[in-house]
Amino acid sequence: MKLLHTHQWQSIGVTILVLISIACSQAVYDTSAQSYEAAKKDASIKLAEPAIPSVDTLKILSAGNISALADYYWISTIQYFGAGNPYQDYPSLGKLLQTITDLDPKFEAPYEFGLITLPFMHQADTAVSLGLKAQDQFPNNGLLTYYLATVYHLNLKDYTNAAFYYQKASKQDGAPSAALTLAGTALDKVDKSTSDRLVAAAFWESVYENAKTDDQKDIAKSWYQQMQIVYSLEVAAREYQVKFGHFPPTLQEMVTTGFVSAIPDSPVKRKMLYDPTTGKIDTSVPIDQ
Amino acid sequence: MRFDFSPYLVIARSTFREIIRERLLYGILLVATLVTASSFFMATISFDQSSRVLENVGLASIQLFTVFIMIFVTTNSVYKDLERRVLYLLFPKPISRSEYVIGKYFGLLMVLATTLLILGGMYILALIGFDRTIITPVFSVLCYTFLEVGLVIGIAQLFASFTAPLNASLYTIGLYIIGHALPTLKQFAERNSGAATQHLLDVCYYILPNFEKFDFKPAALYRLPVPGQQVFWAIFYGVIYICVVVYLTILVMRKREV
Repeated sequence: MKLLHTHQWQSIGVTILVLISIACSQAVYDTSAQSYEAAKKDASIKLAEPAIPSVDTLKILSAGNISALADYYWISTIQYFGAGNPYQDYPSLGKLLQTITDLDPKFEAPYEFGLITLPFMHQADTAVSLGLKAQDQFPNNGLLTYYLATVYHLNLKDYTNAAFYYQKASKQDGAPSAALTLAGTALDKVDKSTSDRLVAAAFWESVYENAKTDDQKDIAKSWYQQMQIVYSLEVAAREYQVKFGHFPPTLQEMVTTGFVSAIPDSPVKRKMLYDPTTGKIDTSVPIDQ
Repeated sequence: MRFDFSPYLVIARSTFREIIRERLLYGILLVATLVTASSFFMATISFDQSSRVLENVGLASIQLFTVFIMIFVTTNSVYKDLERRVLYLLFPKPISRSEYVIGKYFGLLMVLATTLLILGGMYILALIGFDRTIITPVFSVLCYTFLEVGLVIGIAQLFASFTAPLNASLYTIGLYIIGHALPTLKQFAERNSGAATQHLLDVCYYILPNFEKFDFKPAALYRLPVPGQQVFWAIFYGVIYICVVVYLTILVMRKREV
């Protein structure tokens, strides 16, 4: 006895063939549409970026409720940041924060938020712009000045400005106690020119005079001595160069030739990394590293 | 010679009663209450800026809804009086057109006060349980809102006296937005435009109603002291402008056949 008739087998065969061709066409489509799907996803992500009209337009449309509009954009910024971004760079974050602070310059939170997060989104320049705007709006806010200094220090490697703003922050309300110490550290990194060593030494001298605790005095005194030592060694290296036509190959050479009596230990426990091509000394590396 | 207030009071009371009976008014008030209440929710998602957001968004909601409500009731009320020929009955009696206009205006002010009491009162009551420190600044801002919307009512009444209510509403809303945008437009013209545009905007700046004069919300928000002189001139400006628009409305009504 036959299980199925011929035409039934034919129907089953045709059905299976149709199903296979559907599956194959789906697979072929998926393979061919990969770039299209990627482009579509990319476009939809870009479309999801918030639309931000110009500040003048927003001011006109606000009908006198500029602060409330700034608050709306602040909440939008939090939702935008909190929702996540597949490329982890939040391209509209800087513009959102600029818009909020242009609408309401006295709104403090966006400045703080921007100074902390924007450098990590490769938008350090926007962070600096916000920080400089904050200097006008909050002339006595040590925390915002401190954050601006850290952007210069850590992200832009602009040690001159970093030292300036650390020092400024240390005199303002609300600055972390490290501001003063970091000012000196930043000055130490300022392009190793000799005159900057003297500036750094003078700075540490003033820190010593204004220090309130013995610990702070000890730190300031150590850094002052460090700056003086490095200054003296670099001056000696230049004198060696004038006499012999080249910088000394090592610091010990200056002791051997009588330009210095000894190479002192670093009061702040830093390595004296001497560069014989430039005659400069790098003291950024701690001794125990 | 005693000044007879009774015609003004009669018209004012009648206007107030007529508008308070409008069911649509209560619908709009309910929506306004819900939107104002949403400011409490927005405060919770504002990342440690709850007081600020609560104050800003709550006051903005109250202000905008009050403006919207009063434009709507003013234009409709005047239109109904004209359309139903109510004025045919009034003017033969010893009620002059100026008494009608001024009485109407005071009636609308009473509706405004009631609206602000309802919206502002509920908002302040809710603030008692949330953040009491902003109650005083909120109350002061509501007082300035009363003055600002009082001027809006005058302008809406003027437009409603010679055009249809939809047109009158649109003109009033347009003038309200322009009135708030005048300082921004003036600054924009100074930065980007030629001398002719700047002069034109200067003229508009001084002639059109400048609603920014009544905006003390930033001072309340940041607890800045406002000089008494500034408050005085803002109130003076508002009262003078209201007198001007009410007078213009009287002139229009005198010319109008009702």
